[in-house]
Amino acid sequence: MADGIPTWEEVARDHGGFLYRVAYRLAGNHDDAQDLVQEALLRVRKGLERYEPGSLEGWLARIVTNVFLDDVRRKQRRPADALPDDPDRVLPESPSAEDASAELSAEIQAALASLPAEFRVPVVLCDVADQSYEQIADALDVPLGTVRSRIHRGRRLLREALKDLEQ
Amino acid sequence: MTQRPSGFDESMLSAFVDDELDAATRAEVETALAESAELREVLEEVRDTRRALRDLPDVTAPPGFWDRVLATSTPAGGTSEGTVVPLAAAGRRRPVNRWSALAGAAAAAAVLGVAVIPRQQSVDPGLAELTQTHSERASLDNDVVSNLAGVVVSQDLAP
Repeated sequence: MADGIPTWEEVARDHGGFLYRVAYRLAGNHDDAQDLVQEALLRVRKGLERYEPGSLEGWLARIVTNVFLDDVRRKQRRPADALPDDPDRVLPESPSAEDASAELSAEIQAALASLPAEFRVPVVLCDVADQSYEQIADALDVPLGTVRSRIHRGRRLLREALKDLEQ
Repeated sequence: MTQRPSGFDESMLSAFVDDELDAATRAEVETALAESAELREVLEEVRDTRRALRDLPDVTAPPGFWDRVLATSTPAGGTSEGTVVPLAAAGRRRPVNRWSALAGAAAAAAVLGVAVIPRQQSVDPGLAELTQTHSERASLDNDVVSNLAGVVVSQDLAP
């Protein structure tokens, strides 16, 4: 690391897990998460020279979010590949699906994946990436009040989705 | 009182549990909560949902993912910058059977006639010479496609 700027390898090694966790919660499955992470790391390498030392994970969360949103927009232009809304399709593969805890996690992930991206993204950035409202507002380029209302609406929708899954 | 105060912005409850409010606004929310059982119920639901998300188990990449990332994303791995190799898609692909690949390559070579073309000029006249002559003639005849023959073949077969 020179002048507080990590190398690409350091980012991948030390923060890859964080990047993957956020990507997985946004995408809802391992296959898409892997593609998101790889594209994000490509952008990281291109952007490292311009990185200003600060919250590295905030910067990474912003990058992976942008990759995800680009992907969502691309899929919206090609409706055949649109985001899956069938909960069975987005359940993460779990070798211990019988386990109640794993089942609950799968349900939460499925509910999360059912949220529209405009609500899912701020919720994931807040509750998975642990970003502040201000950081989320910067990442999404929206006002602070919008972040607050989308997080709240996202959580309420998530709760409704979980209720639907339980029934 | 159980009704929520009129005009109360419910999204303040999420900001409240996320500790994203200034002291004055936080005090206002606390007052509203004290007055409304309905708001307190919503607050508990928000807390539950937030906790459920934050308590989700850690998720890690499948085995071998990071090795592939490092292998394909560094210059040593042979992938030039800006080239995206969809790893997950690659992982989903059925592994290529080595013998099938060899058979396919042999068939392709046979179709192209590459398999019988000697790398050394042991035929008379020399293939490279013949090709060059043909391409020179084609250039005079203004045969655009044949013009390319000398360029491509002579590079590969030059002794």
